[in-house]
Amino acid sequence: MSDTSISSDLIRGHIDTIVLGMLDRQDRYGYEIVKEVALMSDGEYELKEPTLYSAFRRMERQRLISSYWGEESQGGRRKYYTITAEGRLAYRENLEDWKRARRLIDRLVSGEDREGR
Amino acid sequence: METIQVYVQGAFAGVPQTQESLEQQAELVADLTARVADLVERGHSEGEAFGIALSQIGDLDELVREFDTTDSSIAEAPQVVAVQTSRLNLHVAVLATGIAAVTLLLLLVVGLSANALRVGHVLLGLAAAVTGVIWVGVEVLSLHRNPDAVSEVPLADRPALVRAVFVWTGLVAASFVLNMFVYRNVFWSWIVWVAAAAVPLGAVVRRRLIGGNHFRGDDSADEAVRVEDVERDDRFA
Repeated sequence: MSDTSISSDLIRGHIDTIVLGMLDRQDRYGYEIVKEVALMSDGEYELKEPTLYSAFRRMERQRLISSYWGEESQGGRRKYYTITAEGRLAYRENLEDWKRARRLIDRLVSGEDREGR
Repeated sequence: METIQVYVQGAFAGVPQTQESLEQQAELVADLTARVADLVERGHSEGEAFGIALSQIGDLDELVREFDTTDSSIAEAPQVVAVQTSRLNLHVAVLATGIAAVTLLLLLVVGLSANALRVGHVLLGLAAAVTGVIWVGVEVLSLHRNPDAVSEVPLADRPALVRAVFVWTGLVAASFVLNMFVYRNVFWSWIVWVAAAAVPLGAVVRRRLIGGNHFRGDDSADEAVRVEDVERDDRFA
């Protein structure tokens, strides 16, 4: 297993949270999120469109996000996604869960206790 | 670019061309076009850029499968909507008991003017009224306790409707049988029949309220409605 596929597996479970976090700041269209993820990860992680659009569809059904068609641009109209109040709530919860898990896993895998010994 | 459209349409060729899948295709075409434009800007030829964009976007099969309505695991997923439970329940209780109460009152007045009523009829009517008041009271209390409760319910809850009709049929049969043994010379069980009709009436009212987009538990419902409605039409088509 190469380095990139390890990180892909680790990240896959957090796609929804990553996307919600980006929509929390502003409405975005699909390709914009793909570019943003590449930029923020310095190209170390590549979010694939099929994965992203599956996440969009799932979260739209769960009413965490909703969508609307924007203005005509080159190549057609862009579909924008916006976060709902429920989505914001889910995002905050997921973020807290992640922070707790990260602290815990850090301690467990490094074998250090709370004081770092 | 024509090629992009052809590629995306080809990928979605095996699934029904619903509004939902057409929108997804349009979204992918716009996405790929922007990708190709970015690559051309960085100095690739258009043909090159198209090839690179396709390899970057990856395999579309997994996404396309989600639109395959013949795939039972997706097609049979029950359709649920979020509703404001407490508010909905109170309205259902008020409307159902209200309709049953008015009907019962009318029948009692008719019976009274025809001199066909005994004291027992009035007492039973009062008992029915008390039951109705208790039902509404319970819903008022739970609204006060948790005014913004939201939960997911099926859009068309057939089992609940069938259950309610069963309950009503059961009560009608039980009271009819009881009537044959208790005060058998007076026909009193019809009051139970009318009052108990509030149960199936409640199920019908609930279904109509949910179906009519009332008490939806989502403050972004207005924005979501356009896309949601399109999706719903597809699934019932």
